[in-house]
Amino acid sequence: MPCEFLRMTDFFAARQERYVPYTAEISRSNPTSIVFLVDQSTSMSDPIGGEIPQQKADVVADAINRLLTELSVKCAKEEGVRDYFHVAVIGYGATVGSAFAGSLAGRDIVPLSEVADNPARVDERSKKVSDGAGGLVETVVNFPLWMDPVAHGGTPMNRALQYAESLVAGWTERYPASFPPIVINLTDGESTDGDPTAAAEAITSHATADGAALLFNLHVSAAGGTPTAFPDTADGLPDSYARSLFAMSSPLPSHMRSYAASQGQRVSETTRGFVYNADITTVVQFLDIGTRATELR
Amino acid sequence: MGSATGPHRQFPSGADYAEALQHTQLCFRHPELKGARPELTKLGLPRAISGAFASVFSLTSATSGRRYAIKCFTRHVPDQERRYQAISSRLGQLEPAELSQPWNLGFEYLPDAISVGRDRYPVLKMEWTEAVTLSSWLDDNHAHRFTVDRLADRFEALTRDLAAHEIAHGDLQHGNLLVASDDTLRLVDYDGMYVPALAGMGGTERGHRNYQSPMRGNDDFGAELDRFSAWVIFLSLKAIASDPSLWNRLHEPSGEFLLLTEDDFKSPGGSTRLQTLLAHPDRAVSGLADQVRSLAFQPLDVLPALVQAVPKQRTAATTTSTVSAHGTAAATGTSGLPGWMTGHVSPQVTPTPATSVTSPDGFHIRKPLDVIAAVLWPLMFAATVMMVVVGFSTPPIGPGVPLVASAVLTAFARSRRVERAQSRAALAKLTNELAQLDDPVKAAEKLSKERATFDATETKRTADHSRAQGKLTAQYHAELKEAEKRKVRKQRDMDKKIDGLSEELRKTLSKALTDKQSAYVRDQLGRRLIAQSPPTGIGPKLAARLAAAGIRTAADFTGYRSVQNTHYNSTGAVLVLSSGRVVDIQGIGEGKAIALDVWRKHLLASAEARQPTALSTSERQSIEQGVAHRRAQLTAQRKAVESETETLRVRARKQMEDGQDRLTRENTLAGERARQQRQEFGQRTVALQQKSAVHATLSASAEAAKLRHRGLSYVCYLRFLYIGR
Repeated sequence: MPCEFLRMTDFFAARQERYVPYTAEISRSNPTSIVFLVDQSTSMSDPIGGEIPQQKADVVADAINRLLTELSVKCAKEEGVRDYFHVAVIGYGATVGSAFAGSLAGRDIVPLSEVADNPARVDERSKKVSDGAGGLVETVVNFPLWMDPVAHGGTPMNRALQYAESLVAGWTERYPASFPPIVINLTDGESTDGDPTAAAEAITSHATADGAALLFNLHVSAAGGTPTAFPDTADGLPDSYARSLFAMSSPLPSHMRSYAASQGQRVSETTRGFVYNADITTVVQFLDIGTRATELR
Repeated sequence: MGSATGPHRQFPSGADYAEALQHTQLCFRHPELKGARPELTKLGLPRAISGAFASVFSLTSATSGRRYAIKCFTRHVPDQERRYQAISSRLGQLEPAELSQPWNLGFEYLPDAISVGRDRYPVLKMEWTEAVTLSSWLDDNHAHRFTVDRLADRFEALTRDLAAHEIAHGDLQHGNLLVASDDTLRLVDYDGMYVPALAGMGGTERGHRNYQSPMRGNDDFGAELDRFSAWVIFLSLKAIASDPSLWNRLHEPSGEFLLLTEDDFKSPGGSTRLQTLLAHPDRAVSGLADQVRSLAFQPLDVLPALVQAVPKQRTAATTTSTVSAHGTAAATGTSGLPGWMTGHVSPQVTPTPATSVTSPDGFHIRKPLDVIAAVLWPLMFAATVMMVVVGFSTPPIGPGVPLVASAVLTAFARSRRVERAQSRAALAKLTNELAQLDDPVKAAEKLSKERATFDATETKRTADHSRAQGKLTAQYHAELKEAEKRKVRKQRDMDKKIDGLSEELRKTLSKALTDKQSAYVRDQLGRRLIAQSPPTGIGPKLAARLAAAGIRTAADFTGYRSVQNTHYNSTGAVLVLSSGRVVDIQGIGEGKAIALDVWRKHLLASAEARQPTALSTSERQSIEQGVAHRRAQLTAQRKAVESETETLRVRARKQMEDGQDRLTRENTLAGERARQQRQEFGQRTVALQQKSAVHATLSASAEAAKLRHRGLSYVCYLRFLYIGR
């Protein structure tokens, strides 16, 4: 009986706990949305820093395509892929709009099950894998693609963020109790249509009951060098442009922080979802951390 | 739930495995898996079924042709190998013949089995089973009461098997209970399983939240882990077996639960689902629901096993299922009591209609008057014959007179018979009683009409109730959302100010330094009196004139300005004072003004060269303290916003909870009224049945009485006069 009493008080104590934002469970009835904003300006054809030089646009497109496969596998159940996430990929360069190719072309937010079933095409890519005897052999793997790399035009980041804001606004109206939408902006240059700060603030002023919408920014390196990943202060960032991207970025919610830490990142309580000068590996890791879900049910 | 943090080994992702499994010839060494054929999606990638810490792929062995489920881990699980070995060996000891059904599936833990990237990782190789999850099975089969009821009993038998061997699955739920084509159960996913060999270790997961007791903690790990979820599942199955409509009413399509969710266990008062089950007419269902409700607040180790409770429960369930098989028919009131009323209404003895006054079935026992009538007839007949024969025919008395007289007497005698009166009285009484009874057909129609109205109102009320609950929740969410937005806005302003503090500090420091420097320079210039160290060409006289104009030191003027002297048509000069005013001093022409300016500039340069280049530590500290204080203020304000928001959240939550309490109270009251109303309907149904029985009896008696009354006719009386009956 004393034992039971203790447990009861524990239980009620637990109910009195403060509400922690960004803990909503993601389910099919309370899904969340991820909006990718992809810089498609001319400079994205420059090489990215990393071991093997590659065009920035290629790296970003590959990372997003790979992430969409990853999400599809993660949400696959007996009956098929479940719509825990709804995804938009918006490109900005010569124009601003859906970057989906193939049958999803022109669509904004698409349920994940539909995304999973409708890549633009499945490429065969060669890949070296271990032959089990210490050597490597060249094999071909299937690689589904939803978007193609584009590098043409200016950097209308302002318009892109406004576009994302309209998507986020609609989403938070529709799912007021769900985990808030995540907007991930991947860019390599300065906005050519004005200061994006106000548009960024507009995104993060939308909220669900679980917290404000999240905006993460990834600056893709042109020069190489060590990336500044998940900083908690603007000190040490090279220019006002980097500082304003930092200021636009939301702090990482706690589950993403601990995941980032488990991936070897140095994080603090006020770490923001921002990477400056990212190389190839960091692009992939950033997407992985920024789309990490709370519990899926 | 395994921890994602810490120094544990990194595991590949689901997509990494899906990529590696495109070449099973390369990624596996195990002879049965090497070259195995994975099941593919329509994109040609290996099809995954993913969970929180693993993805499972289906592979068909190239060598044996057997199909396996291969579990690939995406997260570190502590003591994984040891756990699986212990579970595998315990399950291996089970005698198939002793099990209620072949629920256990064989598996093998293979360390370093799969190569992904540069490393090798373990997999779990499991038998493939052709079966569907409990939830999709219910989607297809919920209407088949008997089948569902049988599955409930099989589930109970399965928990008995587990308990008998001190095994707990740890995560009993709709996705881990599969139903094979012969409607027997299979248990899959043994990751969180407890077997006695693992005693003393912690659990690896907490199980599906919609099946767990609110009291289950992270460390609970023992043979009694499944008890709460077993009750939840058993209740759900039995309830659906009793009332298949519950599946569509309480289960949401694609909902991750059967009939009840975590919230229903945590706050039973506010739960429409649990209330529906608690108020269910089938007492077996409401009893089980009540059990689950009370178990939710008891520690896991005191929960009763399903096994101990079932025998009693079972008989109850069986009786009700037989009753409910006729349930619907019984409810409309053709035979017996409606199922749910058994026990509520005491069986009454149907009162037999009062038949104390019975109508006679004919005339009995001749009385003197009858005898006279009987004798009179032949006499009068003979008299008539004689009169006709004798020709005695007086006009006033015709030959028919005697006959008429005897007929009249007979009629009189008949009317004096007591049977006639009795029959008439009986008939009248019956007719009267019948008239007093309402027409049972009409009454039944009325009852069923009232019932239909009541049912419609109830359906509406229940719908309104859940709508009102939904509205409360929506309102709550909207308020939270507003609070959150407000917080974000305010905090962003604070953040901007906080971010601006470094800049402010820099500016203040640099301004302080500039001020300090200019003060120094001013001081230095002020120390150089023109009279003491005069610049070239300025004699004591001029110095005196300058002093008279207020220019005594190098600090008193800042330069000169050339002016055109109109009357001499020559160039002169005025000196500019520190205040900006200009003075014209006699004797100071352009040449002297330049000399003064050069003298001053020289002094200025030498003062600037000696001016301080940094603030003193104390000056710096005082400024820094000011900014730090400001930062602390802003940070405190930022925190205050946090707690304001929390207050708003708490208030919103309180409002919602109060609202819910109110709704629940109203609902309980209305539910009580509805129950009474239903009971009244039940009583009326019973009364109606009795009435209609009485009505039938009375009608029959009345018919019989009428028939018998006809047996008292004139002709019958004549026959009675001579035959005696």
